[in-house]
Amino acid sequence: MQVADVAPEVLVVVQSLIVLFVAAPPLVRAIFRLPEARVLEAAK
Amino acid sequence: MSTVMNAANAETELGRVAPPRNWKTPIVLSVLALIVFVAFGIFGDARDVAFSWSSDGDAIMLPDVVVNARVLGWVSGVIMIIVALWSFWLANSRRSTPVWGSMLSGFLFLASLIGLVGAGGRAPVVFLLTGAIALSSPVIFGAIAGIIGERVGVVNVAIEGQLLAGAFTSAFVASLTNNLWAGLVAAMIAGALVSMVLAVFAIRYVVDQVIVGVVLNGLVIGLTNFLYSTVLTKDSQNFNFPGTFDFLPIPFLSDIPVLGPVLFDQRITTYAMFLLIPTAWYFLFRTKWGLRIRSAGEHPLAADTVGINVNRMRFWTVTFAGMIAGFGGAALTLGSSNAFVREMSAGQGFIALATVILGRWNPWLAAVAALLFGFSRNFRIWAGQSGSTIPSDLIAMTPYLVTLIAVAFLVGRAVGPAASGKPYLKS
Repeated sequence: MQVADVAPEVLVVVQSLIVLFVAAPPLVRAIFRLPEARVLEAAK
Repeated sequence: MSTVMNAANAETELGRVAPPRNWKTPIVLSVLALIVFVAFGIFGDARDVAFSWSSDGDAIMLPDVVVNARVLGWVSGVIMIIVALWSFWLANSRRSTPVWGSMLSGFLFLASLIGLVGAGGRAPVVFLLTGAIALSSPVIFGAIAGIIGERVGVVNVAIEGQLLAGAFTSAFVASLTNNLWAGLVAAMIAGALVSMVLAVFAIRYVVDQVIVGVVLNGLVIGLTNFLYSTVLTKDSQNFNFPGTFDFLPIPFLSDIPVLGPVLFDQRITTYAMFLLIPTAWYFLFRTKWGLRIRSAGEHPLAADTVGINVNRMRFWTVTFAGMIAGFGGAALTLGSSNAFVREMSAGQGFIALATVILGRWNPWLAAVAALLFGFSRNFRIWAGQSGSTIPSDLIAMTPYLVTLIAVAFLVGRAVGPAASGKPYLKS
């Protein structure tokens, strides 16, 4: 069932990006300017 | 098997530890010999096969060599059995079989296989070899990019993506600008960009390099498929019709029988590949830069101690390797097929990755392994056309069978750069 008019090729791109973000915590930290995991533990 | 190996390690009368007996080579050689003797010789095709060494229009025409395919299989089988027995004798006296012995057996196997497939017709040797080189050149570019990457310590699984990005960009840019050279440069830039993404994620964000590679492959496949169906197919005359580089026969040399058309009547992309192999080897193993690259991949801490900026070195080296892989992508379009097709790299990047390991991280050996793949693919094409009695599915198996045998030979022997795939974190 096709719900939206999205090219199926784009799905692969989106899937790849999701995997990339899941595999790269330092990237997510850099984007959202989150502190290092160790710093967080030390603050507790 | 292990008890035999342990017993072989026993001390000899001289007090030195004798090398273990290695039965791998004789076993593989005897299996091949039996296949040739029984399947190609005893039960082989009894018709004649004409090995042709020249094509029409060659300056020097060599006459066809006509032999009976079954007799060829029979004779080759007997010689191969003798080589296998000799190899058993050598293994028993703890010596290894010389490379030329294995090569002779491999050559006879190929000759009798070609004889069997071509029985009742002609076996065009020049076509088989020329096609092998043409089909293996993208793989060789990819393999050398992979070798340089791994030597500096970054595992490049994204070769497939780089080839595809290079192929797409070269076809698109060359069609837009009507300039093949512009397409070639664009392909190299595209390959370098994919490499830069790989390097940033692997080095700056310390993501597992294999994961980044796989993700990048998915990204490039998705993007090129999307752009192909939305842009290139809408107006293929303007966007996907780049043309190909002309064949450049080298005067005199291209008139040499057999070798001339194979080596000296090729496109510029193939000549670039011929030049790249020795250059990459010299660069990696004989220059100061090569030594630095290898030190970053073997022992990054030691390299850092002597003042090499390991991560910067890795970043730029991987980017440079990406340019080579991008060039390989251009060889797929501008160097052979004249247009970009959806997922046209068809797994050649992964084959390149296999040849990196088969070639033990050495450009020469990797090129030989890639040629073997190219030959088996071309052999498959020819066997499909020649109307052989052998089922085509069995012939399609050949490249992978060859790989399996080659990998089995290398198990435990191939040791890659020590720090390959490991990020270097300066503490």
